[in-house]
Amino acid sequence: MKNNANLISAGNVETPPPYFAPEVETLDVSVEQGFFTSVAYDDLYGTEDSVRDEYEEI
Amino acid sequence: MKNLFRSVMFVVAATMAFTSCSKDQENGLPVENEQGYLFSFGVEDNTRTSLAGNAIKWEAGDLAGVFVTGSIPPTANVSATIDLTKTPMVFNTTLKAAPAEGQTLYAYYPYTALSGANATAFPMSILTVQRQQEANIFNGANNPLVGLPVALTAADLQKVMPVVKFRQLGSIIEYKLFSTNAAYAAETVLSVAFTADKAMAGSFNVDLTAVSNTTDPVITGYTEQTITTRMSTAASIGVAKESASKIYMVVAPGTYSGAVTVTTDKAVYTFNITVAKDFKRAGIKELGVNLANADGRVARTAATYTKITSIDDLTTGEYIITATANATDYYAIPNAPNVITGKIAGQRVVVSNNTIQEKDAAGCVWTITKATGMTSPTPNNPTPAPYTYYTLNDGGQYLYHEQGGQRGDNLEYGMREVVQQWSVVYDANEFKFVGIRRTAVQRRGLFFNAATVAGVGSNVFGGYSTSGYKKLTLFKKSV
Repeated sequence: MKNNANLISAGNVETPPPYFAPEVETLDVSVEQGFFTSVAYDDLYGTEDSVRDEYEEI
Repeated sequence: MKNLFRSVMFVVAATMAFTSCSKDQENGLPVENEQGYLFSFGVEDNTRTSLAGNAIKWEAGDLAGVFVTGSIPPTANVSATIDLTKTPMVFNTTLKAAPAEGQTLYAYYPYTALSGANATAFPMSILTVQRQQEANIFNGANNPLVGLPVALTAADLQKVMPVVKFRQLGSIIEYKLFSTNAAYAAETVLSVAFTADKAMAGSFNVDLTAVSNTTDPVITGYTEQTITTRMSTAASIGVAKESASKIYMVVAPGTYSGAVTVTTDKAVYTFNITVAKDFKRAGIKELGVNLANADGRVARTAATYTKITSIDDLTTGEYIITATANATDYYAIPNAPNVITGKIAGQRVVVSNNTIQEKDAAGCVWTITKATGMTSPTPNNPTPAPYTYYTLNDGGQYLYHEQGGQRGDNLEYGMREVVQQWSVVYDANEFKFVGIRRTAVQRRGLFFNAATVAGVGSNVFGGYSTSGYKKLTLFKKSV
């Protein structure tokens, strides 16, 4: 295995490969991807909260 | 952050509202009385659930349905009545047997009187005709809910209130009606209908035992493509979206294109939805409806309904079905009625010179159909004669008389998708409607009681015998 000292002494500066972080697979934790999220219920009525969609005209 | 587990309590505490205090009641134990075991589960004011912001709110008069497995005998589909005076709010019901540890309780809303119903395939529906009392007030009875099953523990049966939480099955559309054309803004809205490119309403079966907090409920099997929301009080129309009148409709979750029609006292407006829209379960979709931008407007004339005075006048057509106790104050049977303990609260209508104007009986138009039936031949009657019957349909379902009037005071009225036959006679200036069951006309009929009925209100229609109660007065649409 080469080391930096050897590279310098040879007079030929060999550029070390740039450092790449190991590729990490990011996980998109969302309801759409099937991960469990708690269902929200109204505190007083115990009924599942509704989610209001954006207004649009027909 | 909300505390998700503090809200609706299912209380097996029992009986405080019904009986005098006893030691067991103080301890919260189920208590036996003459009717069975009084049993309570907690949850909140007059009529159905409504919307409080984005929350589904309980209202007085709400009835949930309950099953308890494993009790001896098991409890199948009994009604539970809301008690708003408790904190947390409580539903009360009577079980056939004392609930026990290890049993499971299932609940749904709104209650439907169905004998022989099974919790694993319980029939529920997204109504094709939905009723809204007035603009901006959501009628939760149109929005079916299912409870998360509760396995009863020893603690539940002693002091601790087990929690029942309800999930939504449908998707709510909030139509915001307004008109930037001032002429149209002076009209009043009678109904909004949505015809979709695919089924989005009707009946379906739900497995109440499989309701889960981790898997969203999915409904299938319904077949209807049109839903109409009828206003009991004609709605005004805003001049801008900020002042729009809100009219609600519950649809099965899905992605739909189609057409929305708005019927006012002066015209029918059509809006084509060519790009399909997504209606999410437990979602509220705000749809702005500017009458000035309709794809079509067809003028119409408001209908008038005239009193009929003979059985011969009772032909197939559209009617306002009313009754009066004093020949002055008339009440009509509303479309998509809320049936509470077998009774239907009447809607006040205005009668003048034996006629009713459309705007004075909004959401009360029934189609009465006259037909001929035939009984099956029997050895004693090999050639039965045909008989005449009538059906009452609100545009979506039939008014149904459980047991056809065979039972006593507890008989149940309700709405069904299947035809219910009625026998009608005209007597002393009024019409008497009596259910037909297996072609046998029963004794008790559909009568009007102006007095107050506990839990329902005054001026109710229900199953009574003739004594002391009023028969019906019919007003037919003039053509």
